[in-house]
Amino acid sequence: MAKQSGLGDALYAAGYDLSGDSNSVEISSTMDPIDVTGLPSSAMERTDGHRDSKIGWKAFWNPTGAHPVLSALPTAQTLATYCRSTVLGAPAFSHCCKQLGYDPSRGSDGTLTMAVETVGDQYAGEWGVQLTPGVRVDTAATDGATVDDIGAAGGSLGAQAYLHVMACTAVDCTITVQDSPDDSTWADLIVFTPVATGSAPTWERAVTGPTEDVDRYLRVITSTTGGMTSVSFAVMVVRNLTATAF
Amino acid sequence: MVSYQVLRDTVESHLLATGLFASVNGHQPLAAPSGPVTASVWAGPIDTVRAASGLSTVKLRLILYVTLYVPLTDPLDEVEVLVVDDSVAVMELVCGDFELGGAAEMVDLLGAYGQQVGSQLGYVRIGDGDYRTSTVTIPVILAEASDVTETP
Repeated sequence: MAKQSGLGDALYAAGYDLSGDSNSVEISSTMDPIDVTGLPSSAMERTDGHRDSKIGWKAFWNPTGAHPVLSALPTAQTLATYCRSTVLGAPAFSHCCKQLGYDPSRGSDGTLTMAVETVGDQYAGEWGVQLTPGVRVDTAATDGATVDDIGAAGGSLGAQAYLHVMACTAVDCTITVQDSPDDSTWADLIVFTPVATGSAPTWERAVTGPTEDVDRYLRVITSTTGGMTSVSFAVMVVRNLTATAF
Repeated sequence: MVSYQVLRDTVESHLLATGLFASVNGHQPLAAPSGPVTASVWAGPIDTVRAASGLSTVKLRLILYVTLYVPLTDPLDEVEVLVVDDSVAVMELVCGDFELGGAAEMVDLLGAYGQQVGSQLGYVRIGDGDYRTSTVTIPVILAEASDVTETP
C-alpha cells in the first residue's frame, strides 16, 4: 500500500464526532520501564512498568460543537478515539482517559483555539482496526460489512472493542461485534450494552475473556427487538497478539 | 455551496449605503469610470486555509478586492485625501460587518490565517483618463467546510 497522509481523519470523544472541530492531533504511548539492572550486568536491564497513553489535540472554538462537550471538563473517565481515515478496516487508536484541559488561546491576530489533553486512565491506549467506516448510521437492524483483519489466522488471546454512539433513536438497539473463521458463519464476540433513545451520546469499552478465540473475519451488527429508527455509531476493535492483562 | 453573488452583493450594498461612491460595479471597469469616486468589487484567488481546517474538513478562503477609482484632476492634493479617506471607510465597513451579513464565516481582519485586510494604493490609466486607485483586500473565510473523504 502506498504511503498516506493524514487527510480525512476523524476524532471522537465520549460519543461526539469532533473531527471537524479539531485541527491537529498528537498521540503518544509510553511505558515507564523499571530498572532491574543487576550487579554483574554491564548494561541496563529493564522490565515493563506502567503503560500510559496520551491524546492531545487543538480544538476550534465552536459554541455548538466542541465547546459544550469539552468545556464540561468531565472528571469521570471518558473515551477518545483517533481514526486514520474513515475507511472500514483502517487503523484507529483508542484510550479510556481523563480529560485534563480545555485551554483557550486567543492570539493577537484573532485566532482562537483550545488545547485539549487526555491521558490514559485505568487502561493504556491501543491501536486497532475500525469496524465501521467512520460513523455508521443504521436505520434498521443491519449486518455490517466484513473486515478481514490483517488476513491473520485467529488468535486465542481475546480482544477489546471500543464504541462511540453519536445519536440514537430507537426503542432498543444492541451493537455486537461478531467474528467468523470463514466470512460465513458468525458468532457473537462482544456484545455492547443496549442503547435506546436518550442514551446517546455515550461510549463503552468491552472485552472478551483473555483466552477467547478471535477469528479472522470481524463485523459489527445491530439488532433490535422493539424497533429502531436511526443509530449513529463507530466501533474499533483490538485483537490481542500477546497475552494481555489489565 | 457558497454563493459568490450573495457575498458580492453584500459588499456592494455596504459600499452603496455609504453614499461615497458614484457607482459600484461587480467587475473591473473596461471603460473610463465617471464620477468623483467609483468602486468595483472583483474576485481574487481562492485557496484552502490550513489553520482553519479540521481533521476531516477543509475551509476555503476567497480574496475579494474592492478597487476605488478617483480621477486625477485638480486639485491633486484633494485626490490624495479622497482616496485615503474612502479606503479607510471601506475597511471600516468590513470591520463593522465581518461576517458579511452571515454570508461568510468571517473576514480575516487581522490575518489570523495569513492574509489580512489591507489596501494598496496606485495609479491606472483607463481610456484617456488617469486615476488614483486604492485596492482594498478583503480575505473572506467561507462559511462552509468541505468534507475530506478517503476512497476505500
